[in-house]
Amino acid sequence: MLDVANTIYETCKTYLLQQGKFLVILFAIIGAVIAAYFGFLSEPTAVKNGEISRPLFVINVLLWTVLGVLGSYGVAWFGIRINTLANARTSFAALRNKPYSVMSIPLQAGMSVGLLLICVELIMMIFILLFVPGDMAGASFVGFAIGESLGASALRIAGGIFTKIADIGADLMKIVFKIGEDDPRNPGVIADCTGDNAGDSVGPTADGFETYGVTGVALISFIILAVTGAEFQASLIVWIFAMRVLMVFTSVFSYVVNEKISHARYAMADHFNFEQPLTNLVWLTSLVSIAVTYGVSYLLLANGGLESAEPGLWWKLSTIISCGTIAAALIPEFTKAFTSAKSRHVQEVVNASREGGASLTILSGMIAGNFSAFWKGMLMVALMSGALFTVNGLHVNEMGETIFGAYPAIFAFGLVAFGFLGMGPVTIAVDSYGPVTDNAQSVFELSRIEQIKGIKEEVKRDFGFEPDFEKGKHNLEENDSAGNTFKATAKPVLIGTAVIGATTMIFAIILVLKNTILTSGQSLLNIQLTDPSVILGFMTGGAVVYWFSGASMQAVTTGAYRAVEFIKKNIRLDKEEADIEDSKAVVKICTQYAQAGMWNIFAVIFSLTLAFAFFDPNFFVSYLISIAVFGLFQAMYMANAGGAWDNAKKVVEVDLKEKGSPLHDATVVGDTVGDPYKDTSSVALNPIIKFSTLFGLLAAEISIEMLVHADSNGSTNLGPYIGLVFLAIGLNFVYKSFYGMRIKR
Amino acid sequence: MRRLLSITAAMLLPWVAAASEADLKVPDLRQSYFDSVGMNGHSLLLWGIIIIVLGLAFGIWQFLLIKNYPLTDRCSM
Repeated sequence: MLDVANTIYETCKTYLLQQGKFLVILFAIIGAVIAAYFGFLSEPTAVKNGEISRPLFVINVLLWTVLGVLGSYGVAWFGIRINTLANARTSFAALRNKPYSVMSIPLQAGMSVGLLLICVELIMMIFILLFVPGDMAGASFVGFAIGESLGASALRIAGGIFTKIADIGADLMKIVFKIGEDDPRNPGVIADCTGDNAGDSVGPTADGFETYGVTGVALISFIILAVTGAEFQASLIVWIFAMRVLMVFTSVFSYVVNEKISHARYAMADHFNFEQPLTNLVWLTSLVSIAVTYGVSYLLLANGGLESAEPGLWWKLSTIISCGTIAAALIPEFTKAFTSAKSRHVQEVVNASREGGASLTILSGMIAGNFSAFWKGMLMVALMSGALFTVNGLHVNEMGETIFGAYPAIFAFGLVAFGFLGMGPVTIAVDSYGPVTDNAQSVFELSRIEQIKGIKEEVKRDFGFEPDFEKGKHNLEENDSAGNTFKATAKPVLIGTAVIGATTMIFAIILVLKNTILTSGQSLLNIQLTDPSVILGFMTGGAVVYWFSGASMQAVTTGAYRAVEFIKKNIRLDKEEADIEDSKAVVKICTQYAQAGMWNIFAVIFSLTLAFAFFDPNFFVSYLISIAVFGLFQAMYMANAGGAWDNAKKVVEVDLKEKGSPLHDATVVGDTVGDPYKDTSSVALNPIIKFSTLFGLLAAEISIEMLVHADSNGSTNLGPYIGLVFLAIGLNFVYKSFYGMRIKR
Repeated sequence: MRRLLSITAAMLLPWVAAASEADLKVPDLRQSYFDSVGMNGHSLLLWGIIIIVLGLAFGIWQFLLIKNYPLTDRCSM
């Protein structure tokens, strides 16, 4: 088992190193834009006042950008390391007769990653707050956020493509050769295990790291822009970070309590529902978080200037945050209704497949996805309305402004996103549970431990228990299904923050627009539905989200074609196991297509963001809102349809025990369709939206300055022409992302 | 009057445009004071770092626990 886990880890390392090189190139491009912006185009106050020279200022921002990229990359690395340790240990623990450790080890691994991620993030952000001079801190935060989302986007996209090429390549062999999951003779299995880590483990860690950072930066910038008075601003920032710090404590506390309860309840049980302890943990943490939110807010805000400016502010803000925290606990419950092996939707997928074959499997899974998008969308609307209702009660002065300026609802939505993330490490922990359980099952199969002569006696002698291979295998399979469900529950939480967080970030640019008065005396801000650029922006956002879904899945499809072709040619069913060289060749195919796909996607995102920002600021802001909204629904639909397909296959394999039947074949087809749905396209949308927003903000500011300059001296605004050039480049790469990625025969 | 206003606005423009997200001035957190804990925001967050470090230690401890779980190196790969 140790060897298998080590092989997986070594392959992961090779992959991550390659990704690292790619990130360096990407950083060079983004870094050049940042340097151009802060070095030439903008006029930072710190430089103007002579506090710091311009080169030093730029170096400082770039340094924080590098730290952002390194943070995303570093936590991803840690995640892979711990997962490849935990997978083999879970697998071995399954041999004991009790299923408890099969659940507890992956969860423990998840908590470890979750805590590390949040703590590293907080230390970096608090460091900027406390030790970087105020004039430079804002720019440092922006650099940090861009770096984080750059790293997360790259890791999400490439990992998502990689993992699903391998997964489909390995899975389809089940139908072609009628072999089992993780059959050691299949050279695609090692790549599949690597992919589980490269995609499903690296993804959420890097993504989580980015999400926490960017939401924080969005809230800080809102507070500074909308709240008047340095004392109030400082108090609110400290309040937000005090709650974030306590979130670390809340999560550890809830985890330990839950661990004790679960241990007492299930340690001796021969059988229990693996989803139950995770569900309990999520609910316990959310309730404790809400209590802590009210407590800390009372402690920090109930006395002092803020309270006199707005009586009862502490409970109003706590209520808004709690709306988000409740959403983060309810969304997993909603998700389970569509993706859990026991849900009626998944049952429906299985039933449909029995008579209707793969066609009805696919239709039924899409239905689950569509319905989930409806219900979760409505849930978010309901809870955001709750937040809105609370801020509507805020005191309004004669200027029509509240303590949070003229747009308190935007701040409320930002706080809802903050509440979404209130469970911090726990959300990441239940998400990281899936890849460990998935790998544990593979390690078990690959090691073929049960076939070693005298292994029973050996384990008994060395470890003091008699291994039960049959039961161990069953537990691992069942646990994998719970992993699938919880992997599906964390996705909507992360993507949900993208929308709400992006709205708050866009707010900065909206304020700039509002305060920019043209020579005609009109404000530049014109975001109304009667404004054509707004409608066009909404349309464009939708278009880009659909392009992205297509381009990322095209990379998976071509890559999977190559992988399947290679595996079919090289698989040796008369041998005991696949040749290690063949396994490596499959890994190489996955890497090659992941990188090719990612190049195209990044080139498009990069050029189109610049193009749209240069066209017109109102158009651009509408575009950003639109990709967030379209992206949210596309991601929820894809993630849950994929989850339903995956678990329908599990039901057939584990509960019905009908492997190899036509029903099984149909559900395997469903699962392979769902693979790029749930683990490639849907998950990459969150960092892509954030990256476009953050990076686009800088471009938009340049564009606004050009527009104002042209307006004040009556010259032609060159912005739209620059935009056209970038649009042409972008469209070229859009073309390439399909026509250049076609299957070559 | 309106013309005058717009001229003033135009003169202020470079400043307005620069006061954007990338040029946020983060306030000195010492300016906030919390009676209930008897310290300013700066000190409060400094104390917070201790909690974070403890959380980090817990995470690393879990990592080490997992690393030391029993495992057989027996397998045929």
